Amino acid sequence: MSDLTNLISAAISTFTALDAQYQAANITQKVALESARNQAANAVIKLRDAQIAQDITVNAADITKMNALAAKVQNGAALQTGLMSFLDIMKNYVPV
Amino acid sequence: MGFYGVQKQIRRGCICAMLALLAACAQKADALKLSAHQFGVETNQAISALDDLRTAQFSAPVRSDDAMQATFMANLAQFSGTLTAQNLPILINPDAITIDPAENARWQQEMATLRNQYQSFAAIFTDIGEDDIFGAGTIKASAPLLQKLRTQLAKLAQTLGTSPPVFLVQRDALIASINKIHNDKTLPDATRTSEIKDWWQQWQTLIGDEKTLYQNALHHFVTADQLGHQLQNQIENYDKISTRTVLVGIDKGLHIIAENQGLSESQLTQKARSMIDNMAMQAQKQP
Repeated sequence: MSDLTNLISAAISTFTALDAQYQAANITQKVALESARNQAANAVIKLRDAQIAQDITVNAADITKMNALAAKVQNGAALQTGLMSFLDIMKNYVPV
Repeated sequence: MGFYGVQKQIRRGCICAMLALLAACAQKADALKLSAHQFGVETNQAISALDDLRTAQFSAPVRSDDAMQATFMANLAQFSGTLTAQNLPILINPDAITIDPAENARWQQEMATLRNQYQSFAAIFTDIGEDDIFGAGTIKASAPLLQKLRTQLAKLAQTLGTSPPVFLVQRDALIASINKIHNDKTLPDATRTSEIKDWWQQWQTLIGDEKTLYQNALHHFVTADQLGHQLQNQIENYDKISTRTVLVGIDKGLHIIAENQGLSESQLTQKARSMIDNMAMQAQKQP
């Protein structure tokens, strides 16, 4: 397990322990505990989000390459359409 | 027919053959466009499933308006402090968690970037319907980018498999409620039995919901990977394959989607594991 996975596991345990205390409390105590409970939940979320962010390896340069390829395909399509129209017209003028 | 007549026939024949070739190329290109579209749709669903799992982790149990009103009234009767704009939402829905809006915004931005990556790749093929002769090289040049997108997909699936998110808040709320029943010695036996039965039903529903959401995510990741693998083959062999082969590929893609929908949890997990292993092997082969 990676360090981040271990940290997530520890953060979940902390949240669960705190939430058990929160759930057992009366409403006045809940109001007092709410901030700590939210902080614990946010710690889990931030660690999980960071784990996903680590997996994202495709970058802006790759997107630029994709856009450049799309533009090339567009240009090729225009050229081929032009050629097809030209040939279509040409066939009418080639006498049989 | 004289020499010039034959020459004219050949010229006309050449032009017609060229037109037919261009038309056939357009068909093959259209078929490839569909394959890229299938991959784009499935990856988009996988990313949405990832987003759903994140939200479900800290979502409070869903209650009817009447139940929420009853909870608020009971909390108000018990509350010994002063009501403020900050603590009022806690009395209305004590189970709710507030996630830092900045973190939520950052996550949404990241998901939008992810979606954009896969949509940008599919967009390479959007205008390919008329293209082939002048675009075959460009199509092949997209292969390494697809490989990178597929590796990323496998990494996300691996993270999902290593620590599948559970509905933490809903679990904790139900555990608290069974503890309450368990510790209340004043409850008559019939009431206790009825409440435990009711709790049991809620617990089973929760476990079922967790499983469904996780399986749904896994299903989309596995299907996206299979469609990506198929698209990779089509792109890398674009100049060698026929229109028919690409069309068969699309049909196969539809089968993959249907087949994966009927898989059990263990079969899906197995497929996800083999997907990750394959991608790891390919990543090692890359310089």
